[in-house]
Amino acid sequence: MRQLFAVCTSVVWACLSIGLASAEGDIVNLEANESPPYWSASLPYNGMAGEIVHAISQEAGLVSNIHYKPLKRLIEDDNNNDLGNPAFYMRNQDFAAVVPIAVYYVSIFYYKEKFREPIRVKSMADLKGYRVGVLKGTVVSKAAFERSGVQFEESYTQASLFKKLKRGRIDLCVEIDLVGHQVIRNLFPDEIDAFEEIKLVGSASPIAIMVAQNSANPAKLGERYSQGLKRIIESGKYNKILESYYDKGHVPEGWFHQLKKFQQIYNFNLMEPEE
Amino acid sequence: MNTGNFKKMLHRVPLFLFLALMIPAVAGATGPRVTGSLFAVDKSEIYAVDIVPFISMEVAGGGIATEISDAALAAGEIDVVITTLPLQRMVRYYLSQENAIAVMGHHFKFSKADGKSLIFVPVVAAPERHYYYRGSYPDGLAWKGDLKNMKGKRYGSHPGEDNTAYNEAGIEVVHGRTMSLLKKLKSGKIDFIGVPSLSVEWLIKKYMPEEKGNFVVMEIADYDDEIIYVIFNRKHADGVAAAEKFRKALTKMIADGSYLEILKGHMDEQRAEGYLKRIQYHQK
Repeated sequence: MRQLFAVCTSVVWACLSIGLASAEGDIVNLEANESPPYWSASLPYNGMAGEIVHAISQEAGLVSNIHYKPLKRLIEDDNNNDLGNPAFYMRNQDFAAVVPIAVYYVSIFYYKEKFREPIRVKSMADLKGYRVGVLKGTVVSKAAFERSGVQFEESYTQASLFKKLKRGRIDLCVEIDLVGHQVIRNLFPDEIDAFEEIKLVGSASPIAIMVAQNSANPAKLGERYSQGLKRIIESGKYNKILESYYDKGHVPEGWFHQLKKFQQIYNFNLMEPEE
Repeated sequence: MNTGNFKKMLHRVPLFLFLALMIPAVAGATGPRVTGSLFAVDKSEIYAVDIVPFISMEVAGGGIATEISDAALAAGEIDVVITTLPLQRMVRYYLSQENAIAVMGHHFKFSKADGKSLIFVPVVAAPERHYYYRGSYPDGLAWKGDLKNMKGKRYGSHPGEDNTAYNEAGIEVVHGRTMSLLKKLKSGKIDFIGVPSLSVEWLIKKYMPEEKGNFVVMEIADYDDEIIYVIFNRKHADGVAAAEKFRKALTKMIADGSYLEILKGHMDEQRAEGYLKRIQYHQK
């Protein structure tokens, strides 16, 4: 029933979008990879980042339609407008504008009952002695971790990681914070208090709107998104969206500083253009 | 740690309950990239520009140059981590705006003034070859190893690349990153490019496997090396000392065989031996 409601919400949103488009502004097609709770066709307003995109678009007089495709197809398509972490897309596509709109963080989770004292992780060396669960293929510098005595156990799904935590097969697991929250809620709704989270404050990554070079007037489009973002931040609408996912007053510390920094980095142009 | 916040969030109703019931069991196609930089809050960082397969989060060890540099940093007891970024201008941002201890990559094209505050340490010397697209030139490109024979042609150049020789030969220069250049080559928008063979092979295998064999090496007797450097910043309080320790550790790795061992993890033995000889040459 709830899933039906979600589908209906999406359909209504799409219809509203089309109506708004004809009445208020230009339609822009954007593409994302299904990755809840940030982007999802089955979530209200397309998830947290989707809701931000729609709020920005409304301010900018645009209607943004989000289409979902497998990540591989998004990366390979070098003529589309992408949504997500630019690092995934920029090798294969040159964009006319990159507008960071949000930030995501990584946390370490553990099952409290298995440990007498709270675990503290500030450096790689602090992981030594623990069995650390990660999603398969996500460890980049394995040798560097091994030199610090860190041992990883890989799993194919997030659900498996958290089940292993509870069973004690691993001690810690590394996961994107909001994704970790949702997996715990899904799998262990009666044991939410049993899990602990350690936020990795240095883990911020950008979520952006990337405007393809072959879009109509792409630089202007990027500017409209930037201005729309500025306005929803000023009006407080942006923060309300974040608080519906992070809870009131608990948006990660430094969120807006990081967002501003990503905006500077992706628009830094000291030298000749990349293209 | 923010325990109270975490618990409070997990208890949220009705939105989170609503979301939780709709989210598939396997949430999302991608997980976090687990790199040293996740744990680098109080550490200096070396910012590196993505150059497959030399610097890349998609390659084991973070890429050939990253793995070698990581090992040299550990051996030299230099407490920094390497962070990979997609664009050169982002790496330059950290150097110029945040006084990074070092950056890593190639084709940076620093001004003379900037160059005085930098210490270049070559980490990998990759043989660079010229390529053309078979479909555009079925009979080959009769260049005979001399750029003068390419007058009027279009060369695909990376941002920051020194194009003096191409300009002097009357060759038009078109800019782009490697993947973009390969596509331009295929579509006939440019005539030839100069790229390390390992990069071309990696990108074709990953993004256009059906094109294997269609990007043809323009054979010559000798060719240039594409050198990937770690470039230390004298303006950073620890930059000079770190450069010295890094160079010393790297030299030792080259001499004791550990450099070669890392290379062998990424390429066949014969090729690895060739790479070793080239870095030995550039270390002199």
